Amino acid sequence: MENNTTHSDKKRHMRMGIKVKSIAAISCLTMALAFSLMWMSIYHGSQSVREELLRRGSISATNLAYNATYATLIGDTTTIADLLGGIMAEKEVIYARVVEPNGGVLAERYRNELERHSMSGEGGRSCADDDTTTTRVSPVAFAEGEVHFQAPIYIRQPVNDGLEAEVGLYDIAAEAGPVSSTYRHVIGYAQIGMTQQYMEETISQMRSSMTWITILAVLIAVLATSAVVRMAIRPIRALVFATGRVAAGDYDCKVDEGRNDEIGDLADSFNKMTADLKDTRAALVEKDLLEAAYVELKEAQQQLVQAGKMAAIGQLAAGVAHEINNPLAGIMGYAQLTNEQLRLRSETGIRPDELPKFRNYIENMEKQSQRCKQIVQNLLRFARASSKEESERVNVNEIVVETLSFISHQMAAMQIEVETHLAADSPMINGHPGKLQQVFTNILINCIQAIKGIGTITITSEVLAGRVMVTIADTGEGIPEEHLEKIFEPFFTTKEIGQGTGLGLSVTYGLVRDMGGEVAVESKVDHGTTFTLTFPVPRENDAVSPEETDTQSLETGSSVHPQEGISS
Amino acid sequence: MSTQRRTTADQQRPQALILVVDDETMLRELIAQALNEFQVSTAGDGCEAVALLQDQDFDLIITDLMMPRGDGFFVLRAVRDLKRSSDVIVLTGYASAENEKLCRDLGCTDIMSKPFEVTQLRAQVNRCLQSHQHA
Repeated sequence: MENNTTHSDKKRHMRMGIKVKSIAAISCLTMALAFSLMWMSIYHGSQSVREELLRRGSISATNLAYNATYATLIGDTTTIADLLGGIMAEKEVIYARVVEPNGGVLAERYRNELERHSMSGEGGRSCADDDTTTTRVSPVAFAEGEVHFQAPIYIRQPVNDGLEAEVGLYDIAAEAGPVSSTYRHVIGYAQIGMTQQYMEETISQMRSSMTWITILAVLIAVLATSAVVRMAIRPIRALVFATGRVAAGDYDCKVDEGRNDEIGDLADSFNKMTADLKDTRAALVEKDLLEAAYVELKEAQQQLVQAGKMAAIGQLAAGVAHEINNPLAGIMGYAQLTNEQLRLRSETGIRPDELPKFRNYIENMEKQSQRCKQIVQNLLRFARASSKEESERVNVNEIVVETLSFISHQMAAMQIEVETHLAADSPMINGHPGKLQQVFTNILINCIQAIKGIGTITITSEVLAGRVMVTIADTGEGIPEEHLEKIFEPFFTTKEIGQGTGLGLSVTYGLVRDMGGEVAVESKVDHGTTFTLTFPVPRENDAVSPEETDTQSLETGSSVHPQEGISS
Repeated sequence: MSTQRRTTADQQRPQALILVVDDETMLRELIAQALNEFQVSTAGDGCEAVALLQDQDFDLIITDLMMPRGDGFFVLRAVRDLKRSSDVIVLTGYASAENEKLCRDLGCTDIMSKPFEVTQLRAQVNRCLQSHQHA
């Protein structure tokens, strides 16, 4: 038992419960989802931040080019410088300048001198090399986190008209019109450099806040999942616990079935199942008990029969000893007398007048020997009959006479007279001679004990309506009515402790029932008791079976039938 | 030898009176034959025996135990109640321990079982008669 518990504990400890499994699964799922969402938003966010920077840079360069058109045309560097100052207000702008098509710088502004030094040459050159007639705005280069923009400053001139200049502002509006009529005359370039530093900062800020949000979301998801799972698992746990209790034998264990869902249904079913199990178990236990009791009863009955047999045998032994010792005493005594007297006459010889005496001695010896032989034969027949198990055709009269032969002397010794009125047509029944003998012995012993002083026992046998009826009536003290219905119960006795087993009549009842017969008793206090035994007469060609009886009762008057099942 | 003993007995007392009680005629006759040196009366049951006892005092009574119409106990009680000095030998084919005890309580001198040796019975009878005379 203990090993089992530790084993299952270990198992429980080692295994992953539904809770852990579902939390792990949902956490993984949430994390994957959140991180892919995070990656997507960071990617798109940085993408849009970068596009915004490029857009702003190109707009700023275009604006500068547009605004500085006139000042470039007339070479007003002061105005250009002012315009550049306005552009430098943007914190991302690291430099702004306006250059002539040949590369000469008209005006420029730098965020700091260090940058001016490192960038001036390159920026100028690149601008000069660039063909700008078709591209209005283009990032020049991405170097070390910087973006460079260049917008051409130009004027529009009609193809035919010579030097009529047009301001770009109007030009932009006229761009929708036919282009072929004008051509662009580039007079300079507006160049702006912008740093990506701020963009990177924004992106990294965005990334870190997204990370935190993701972690928070995952945490919340895990917590929510565990709460939900715990809630979902609680009734299942209760069920598991209850199942364990039931398995351990506690059939009164119930699960709360208050929930109005599938788990509530499950709990309901479980409770019903447990109740059924309890009933079944109880029925099983009851069946086991009943079976054990039945076996016990069966054994007890066998013991009763055996005890009854032993009691009858004890009674018989006393009778037999008495019966056989008398003739033996005669044989021994006469033999010794004969021997003695013959020795006395060894010299004188026997006188003729003494011969009748000796003959008488020897006749006595012979007669007593015959008696002994008869007794031993009876005894052997009884023993044979007792050891026989199968039923056979039995002459009831013969058994009555045989039984009486064993106890008649005893009855005579106790001043009890026996009268027999036996049916002339020798009634045969299906029965067992030994059992029948025990039945008659038990009843007769009861009668003998009921007679205090002088009395008579009358035994009658007759054939009536297809049944053999044997009545054994005594003139004894009778049985009070309250005892009458109990006398066939095992261990019921009115005798003092040690005087009677209380088994005789219950065994008798069982034996009679075994032979398909019935036994009834009538009694009247101070007048006597009558036992009535009825046995079915087998039809001529019937197989020997004691079972088939027609249950027609022949007894009349206040007879008592023992309840069935008491001792049979 | 037997003659000699008879003479000795005759010298001691002319004729000892013995009552034999048994429902078995054959046994009554046997005992009477075996004890023919004494004056033996017989009775077939307890009642007959008690009838004889009322008229006569016996030196010794030999009685069976189980008899119809007055058993051995009945005889023993009668001897006691009639205040007879008779010795009583109970001769029985079968006696339970309880019955033996009851016999001794009722004052029987000895219990002998059937079948018995004739010589043993005689010896017992003589022993009883001698002690009876001395008493």
